[in-house]
Amino acid sequence: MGRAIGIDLGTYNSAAAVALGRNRIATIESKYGKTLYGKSFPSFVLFDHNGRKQMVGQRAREELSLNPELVVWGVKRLVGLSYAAALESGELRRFEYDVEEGPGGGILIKVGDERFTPSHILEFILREIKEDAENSKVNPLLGDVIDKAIISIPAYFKAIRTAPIIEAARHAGFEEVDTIAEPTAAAIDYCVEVVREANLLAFDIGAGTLDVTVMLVINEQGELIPGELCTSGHEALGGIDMDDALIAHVIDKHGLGGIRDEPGPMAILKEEVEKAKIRLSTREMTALDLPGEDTVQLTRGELEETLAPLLDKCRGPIRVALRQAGIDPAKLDRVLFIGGPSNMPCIRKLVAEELERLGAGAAVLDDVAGSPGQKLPVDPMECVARGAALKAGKIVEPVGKVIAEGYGTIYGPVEGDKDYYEPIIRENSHYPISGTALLSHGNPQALEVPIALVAKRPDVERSTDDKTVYNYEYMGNYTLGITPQRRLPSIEIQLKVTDDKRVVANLIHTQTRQQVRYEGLDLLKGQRIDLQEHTPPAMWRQHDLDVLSETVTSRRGAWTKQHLENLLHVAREALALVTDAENEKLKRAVTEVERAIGRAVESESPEPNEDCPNLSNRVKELLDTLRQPGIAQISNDDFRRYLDQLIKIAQMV
Amino acid sequence: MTPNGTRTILDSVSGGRYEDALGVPVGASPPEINRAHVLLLHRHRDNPAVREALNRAKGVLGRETRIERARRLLRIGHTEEALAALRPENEEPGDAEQIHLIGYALYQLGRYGEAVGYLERAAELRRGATDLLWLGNAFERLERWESAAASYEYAVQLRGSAIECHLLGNALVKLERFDEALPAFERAISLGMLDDELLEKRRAVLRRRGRTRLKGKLQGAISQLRRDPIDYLLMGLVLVYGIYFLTDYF
Repeated sequence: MGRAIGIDLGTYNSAAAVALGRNRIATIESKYGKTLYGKSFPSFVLFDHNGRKQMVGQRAREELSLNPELVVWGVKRLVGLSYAAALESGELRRFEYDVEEGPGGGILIKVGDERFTPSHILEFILREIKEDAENSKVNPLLGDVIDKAIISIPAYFKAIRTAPIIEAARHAGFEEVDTIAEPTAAAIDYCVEVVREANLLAFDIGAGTLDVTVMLVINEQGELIPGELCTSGHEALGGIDMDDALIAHVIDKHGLGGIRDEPGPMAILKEEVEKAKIRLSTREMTALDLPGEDTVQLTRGELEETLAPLLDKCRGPIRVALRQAGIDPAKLDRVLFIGGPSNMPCIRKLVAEELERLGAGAAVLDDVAGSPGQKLPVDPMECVARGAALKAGKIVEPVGKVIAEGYGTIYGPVEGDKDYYEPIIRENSHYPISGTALLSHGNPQALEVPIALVAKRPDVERSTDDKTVYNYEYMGNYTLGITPQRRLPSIEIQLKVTDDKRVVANLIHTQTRQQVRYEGLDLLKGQRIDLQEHTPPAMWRQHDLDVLSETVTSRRGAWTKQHLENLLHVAREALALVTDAENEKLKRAVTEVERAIGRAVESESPEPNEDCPNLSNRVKELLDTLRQPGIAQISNDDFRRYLDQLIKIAQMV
Repeated sequence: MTPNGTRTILDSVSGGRYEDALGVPVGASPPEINRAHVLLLHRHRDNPAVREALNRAKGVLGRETRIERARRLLRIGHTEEALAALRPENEEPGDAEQIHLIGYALYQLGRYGEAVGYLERAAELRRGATDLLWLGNAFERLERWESAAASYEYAVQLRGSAIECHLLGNALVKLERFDEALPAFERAISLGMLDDELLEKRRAVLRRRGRTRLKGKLQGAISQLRRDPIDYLLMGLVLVYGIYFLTDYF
């Protein structure tokens, strides 16, 4: 049996660690040594011109300025996205390698003649980590087979973005794979210091994503229980967005517009800007070597001004996470900063400002603002890998994995013109979790029932202090084929988020128990829709529907004036659609029924069919006429519809 | 928090008694719910079914709105708690659903007089047939049949389903307005409500209406005979006819 390691799979850089004991965690080294950025495995893969993999990690990264079209990086921002979504969000513009639309609307990365999915690229990175970990020359402490991995994943990632990462790990040779939310992993690394109980806010800003997670850590008789409560964030807000903004600023300021189309100089500028950004965390000013001979100065003030609009987006997730966790900001005990960009003074300041506004205590605010040279409770670059390693080694077991989005279905407008959202699994629930909803379909003759499924998550950008607003994404119509029964079809929708974050739907016809299962539902083609958020006023209650349904089934051969009038109305509509020859037969039958009804109505009998055998005979004749080959074979759709309706009514009679 | 066993948790969740599953009181604060949830998840970490049940309990308790909580509590018969969750003292003047549920909970508790006030206001706010339906029910309990019939009549105008028509027919029968009750029952039947009780009611209305009409005819005949004494002799024949008709009818 091999060892288990924890892997922090990052957008720019990855790291891995192994727990040899509660306070003995070893970082896994790369054969190329540590990098400037504090992690050992840059998430870069170098290919040759034929699309064959050459190198992974630091060496691949060094090739970026020379062969930018052959170095694939930043794929964590692309994993689980549709090509259309990536194109629309502008995500693809920053990469020099070719990206095209794959089967099913997914993303394919094209290098030379080969095409790779983002999951393939992640597989190369994970395989490299596994091989280096197993290499006793590089990691003499291990020297063992590594077959289990706990991989950290942004807490705010949708389910569809998690599945390809797990798949990549399995293909890379890990037999057992589990995931952990990045902020939770960092909190585990920290929580060994918790004495009794603590409310934590983990602010994790990496190269590609922002996660804000609220946690409750309980120390129960020496056993640490870190519990995730709520998570919020952005799937596309991190260091590379800051780099993009700074690159645009430098290009504008120094008139370098011409290099935008030159991959080599752009790659050099990108690297310089990233280094300058890191240096400005500890300095007020730094020099920037532009492509060519020039050197220019970049100040911290300039950097903060440029990044201000981007960083403002960090405020919403803090508000939403605290509100949805039900934690009073004044009761917050600690803020953990995770990820390279969290070292930037402007980010610390922004978090402190937002928490102060929300009413956090003075001790926490002092802690957040920090002081020069202050020792941080956890190493922001290594804590995720260390925490994942503690879980992999089963030394600390976190509880409660939070899924940011909720799932539900929609039903038609009760009042007004908008549909309503019916929740089945609430946003920010812990998974594994399942939920059910019962939906009635209005047509008892339906052969299939479509069920629309929707995902919902807090819209952190539109959320204000007083209210959380939501985004709804349409996941598609999932259909259940059914055998019509005499009552209105009632469909039970069972939704489940599994332990590995897959979404599964079971649609069950409650009367016949016919069912269909849809696995791995995704938002790949999800489109935004506008739904009403609140409970509809005066909606039909299930009881009302049950009563109605029961009444439909309990027809027991009684005729009423209304039934007969319906029958006649339909027959008259049908008359207008048949040919002259057939018309005569039908017309005669309809007229006979009409006369018989007239007599039955005049008699004011409560049960016309009991007292008017004549009427019964006439209705039978009408039905026989309708079933005659000449009429029954009329292909006119409208007529067929009327005929079906008529036969249905007559069968009820 | 009380220690909860596997069976208790599973039973409580399947019955919609989520507070029992987490061992917290109804109306527990989010931190209390959070703490209980984390500890229970930890204790039952090896049982996926219990983990899922606990997650569902927390998912509901931690996120449900005041209205949703009230509905859930009403569904499992915790009417007093539902009323407390709705906090009538903090009523939102424009929130028709809250007002409706307060009225409904009061109705379930047998406080019909108070329920009427809330249901009337909910119906005014959103012109909802469901509000009028329960309002009519409350009036029935108070034996205010005119008001009940008026509520159902309005509900029929708004939604006109079989249920409202049936209830309207009942109220009109109580008021002995058989001519109006008959079309209400007829409409309920035409909308698909064909249970035995309704059909029997319809027959009864037809009989009662017939009797009323006959009574009217007899009274008319008697007045005419009084005006014209020569026809007094014929009165006896009319009475015999009447008795014969009634006997035949029943």
